[in-house]
Amino acid sequence: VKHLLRSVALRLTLVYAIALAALLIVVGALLWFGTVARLERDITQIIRNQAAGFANAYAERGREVMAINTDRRVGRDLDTDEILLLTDNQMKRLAGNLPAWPREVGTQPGWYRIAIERGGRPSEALVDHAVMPDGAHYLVGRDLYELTALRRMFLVGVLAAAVAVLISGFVYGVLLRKAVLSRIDAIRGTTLAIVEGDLAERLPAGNYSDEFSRLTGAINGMLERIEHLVHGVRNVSNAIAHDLRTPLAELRSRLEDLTRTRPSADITFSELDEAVADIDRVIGIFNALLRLAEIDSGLRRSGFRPVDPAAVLDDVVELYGPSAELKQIRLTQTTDPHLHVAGDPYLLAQAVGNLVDNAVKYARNGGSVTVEARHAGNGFVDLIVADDGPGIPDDEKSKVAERFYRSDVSRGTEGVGLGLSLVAAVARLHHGTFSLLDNAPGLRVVLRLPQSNGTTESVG
Amino acid sequence: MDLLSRKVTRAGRAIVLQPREFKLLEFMMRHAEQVVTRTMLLENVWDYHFDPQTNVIDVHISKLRQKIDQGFDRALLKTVRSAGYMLTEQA
Repeated sequence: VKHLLRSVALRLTLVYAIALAALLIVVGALLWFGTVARLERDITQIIRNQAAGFANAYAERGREVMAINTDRRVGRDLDTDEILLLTDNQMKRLAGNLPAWPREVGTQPGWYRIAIERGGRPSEALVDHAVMPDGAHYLVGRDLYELTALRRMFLVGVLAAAVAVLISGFVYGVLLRKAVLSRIDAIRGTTLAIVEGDLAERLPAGNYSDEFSRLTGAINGMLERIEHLVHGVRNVSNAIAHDLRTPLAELRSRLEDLTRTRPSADITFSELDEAVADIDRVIGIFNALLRLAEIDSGLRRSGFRPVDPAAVLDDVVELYGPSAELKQIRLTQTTDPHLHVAGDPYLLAQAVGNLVDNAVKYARNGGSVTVEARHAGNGFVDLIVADDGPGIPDDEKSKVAERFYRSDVSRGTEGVGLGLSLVAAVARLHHGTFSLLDNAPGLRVVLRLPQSNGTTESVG
Repeated sequence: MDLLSRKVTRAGRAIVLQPREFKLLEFMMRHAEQVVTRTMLLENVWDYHFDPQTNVIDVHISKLRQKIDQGFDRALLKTVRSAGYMLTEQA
């Protein structure tokens, strides 16, 4: 029982059942005073009236007549519940329907409850004992059989109902506990499996949209996210290992060649320069990863300030202008007036810079890259970088923002596959979105940021 | 270099520079005979606080170099391999 009581469902049901039983008893008590107690009072009143009537008649007609009247009255069986007994001074029966003077009734007049037996069934009666002026004793009363039956029925009924409520409450609680427990056990089992390492496991979704289904839904959502994150981390560490191994392996063979061939000082130093460049690439990867981690932590949100997207685009276009020129790419910019966002200007510049960098890198010679900042409606500002290069196949669009992902198109170009990850992270940081669209031909990247009210001056 | 009139001359020949090229040259001259890294240039000339993935700075430098060194025997703007650039009088 003790371990049963540890169940919340059972405890709640039991408390509820006890409260219900208590309520039942209170209602029963009220009904009792309304019916049974009142009936008893009425009977008492009837007996009192009758006793007074007999006393008057006795005083008028005397003992003999009353004895005859009493027997006649009893013999007519007018009222089967009526109890009458007339005795002489020594309590010897003269008339009435009691065989002898009851033991319970003393010599003093007053009210008594006596045990009687009528027609073979035991019963209880309420009698008024009066002493006549000539010393005769008179008992007037009522058989309380009906009242006793009613009282017993009442008590048994109320108690039985209370017990029934308690028992059914207990049974219902046990069943409820079983039902709840089976759902919880299912959740627990799955959770344990997940703890064991099976992250693909999901909680069984209930048939109804009840509390448990909502809970399992929320937990499943959490598991989805965790699996995604773990998957991401696993991928990233694989990718880091892979991407760091390549430049390090190159570095190693370069240095190994140097120690083996021992070339002239000129060649040695030029090889050392290359080695430093290899190391710089590795450091660059680490810097990019640290930067991503910093952005993802959301710490930089505290440094948000009003930013004019047009100014950000100006700077980026200015920075990448010569690079585009070198490939004879037309780099053009259009901006709507009065654009305001709250954000980190350096990160926004870096995000747009990465996009322009990609666009210039992948656009064909003599192509064009356009950079736009415009109102997107619904309180958003779009920063758009579009090119007419090879674009990204639809099935790769969802992957390119993953860390270290490199499209087939990008093989053979420099870069480690973190550029779009950073753009995505910057978008998330600014509560914005980042989408890759088809520019037909080429790629159109839209960085959608929530617009700020822009009451303060922009920071260039 | 005349900072007020924003004019640049080399050996009496006037050189026309874009505002950013002017700023770039000014920074290089203030750090003459010192190695200036790409990151320093990005932060001080462009106020850009991160590493771009590609060689944008190199392209800017080569444009500037064309303007100040073309037609002269001696190149002033030198590339320091795997470090950055240096504006120097020395050969």
